[in-house]
Amino acid sequence: MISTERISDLFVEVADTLVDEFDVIDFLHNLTVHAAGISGADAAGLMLTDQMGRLRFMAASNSNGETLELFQLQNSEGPCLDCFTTGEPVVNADLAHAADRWPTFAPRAIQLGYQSVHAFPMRLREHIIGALNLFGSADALFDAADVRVVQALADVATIALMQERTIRRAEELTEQLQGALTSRVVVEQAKGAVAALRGITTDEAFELLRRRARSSQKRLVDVAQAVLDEG
Amino acid sequence: MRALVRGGPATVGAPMLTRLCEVAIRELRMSGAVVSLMTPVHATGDQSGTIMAASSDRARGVDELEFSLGEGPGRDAFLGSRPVLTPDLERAFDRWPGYVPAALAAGVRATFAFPMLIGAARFGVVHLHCPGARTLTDHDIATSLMLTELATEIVLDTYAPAGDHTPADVPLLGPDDHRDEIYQAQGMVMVALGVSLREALARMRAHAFASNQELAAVAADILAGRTRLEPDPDGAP
Repeated sequence: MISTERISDLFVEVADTLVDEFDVIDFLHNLTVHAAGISGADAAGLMLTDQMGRLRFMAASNSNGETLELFQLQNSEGPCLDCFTTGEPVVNADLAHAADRWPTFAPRAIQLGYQSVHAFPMRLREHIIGALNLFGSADALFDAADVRVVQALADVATIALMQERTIRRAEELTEQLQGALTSRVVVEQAKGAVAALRGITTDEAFELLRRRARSSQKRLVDVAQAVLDEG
Repeated sequence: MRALVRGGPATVGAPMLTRLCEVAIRELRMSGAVVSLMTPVHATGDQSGTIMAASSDRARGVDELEFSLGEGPGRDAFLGSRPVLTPDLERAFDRWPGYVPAALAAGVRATFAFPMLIGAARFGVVHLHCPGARTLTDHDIATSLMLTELATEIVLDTYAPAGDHTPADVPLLGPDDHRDEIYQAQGMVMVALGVSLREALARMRAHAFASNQELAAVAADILAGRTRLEPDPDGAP
């Protein structure tokens, strides 16, 4: 059951994000954390299309979320991919009975301790630009109200990504989407560079980059870009 | 499409990119296609970039306008690290007051500029021109992005160190999985060898090709410290 208090907190935060310098990577990460927290799911992940028919992993609330998103991409199978293909949400899918539908994904998700899975499309009129995935336990099933709220969250993510509020043309969508996908790659490259410079792990490098972005009030992608320009 | 571009007799960069421009205008019904190489210095400053291939002299001339005027969609796509798609230049006078009249006079009404990049590693721009106002369909966009990826791949291989095998016709990044590891390893190699981010990936590709491994496997080894790429013996990029 979804907590209304947490929803109000979330929308305040989203509104803040949209007025400040927008950081797509940080925003999507926070959104997956909130989506998991609000819905009572244990993990959430988000993918975007590269417009060449492939999905790209963008953010997850925790490492299990990331593992399951990447697992779906590697095996070309899973709720996020179904949702992206059909444009329809996947709600309360019971993993114990999903071996036919997702023969490799379902056992892997169960192995990580999950019992149910949900996926919500990120829609911009006729375009599906990605999907939001939630993984939970059996007692975290969604009712109709929950479904509306989580879908609203996926819609918020879509609106936030498409920064120009009145996207009318497919061309503008391409500009924004490709920019978001590139931002993520820049951050990954910077993680590697910082890890090599400091002799630390890439996870530690990511934390360092995030802290640097926060303390200097810059966007993560700009901090990452600066690291790579110096190198 | 890959086969159309890669399949001809030429195996080196420029002729293959010229063929790519020809495929682009045919498949996308454009009047011109140009592949330019740029660096941030070219795009922001006094030097002009290098036009590496064009579908015609006329198309080449249109892109030279950008370099002489110091503004235009190709430069913006490069500097902004994202496509700049302009279905109607008549509505873009404010953005490029110098470029728009010049391009219109040269018979171009719509332009679509796609940056060739892998994250922060930027190579240049694939620029498509059209004589009439024009909206790209989803299919056009997918085709343009695919051709841009292919152009990036061809340009990237010119960065491989001399003497190394050029991994001809190996897809840019390999299979879809483990791409994050490839990008992270690219950053590591950049720092470890003191080379550009572009060259770092070229080195990784050459190593993968020479040792008959997947790029993702090479990346995983680099991240785990099991593989260390050596500096180029010639000392030249």
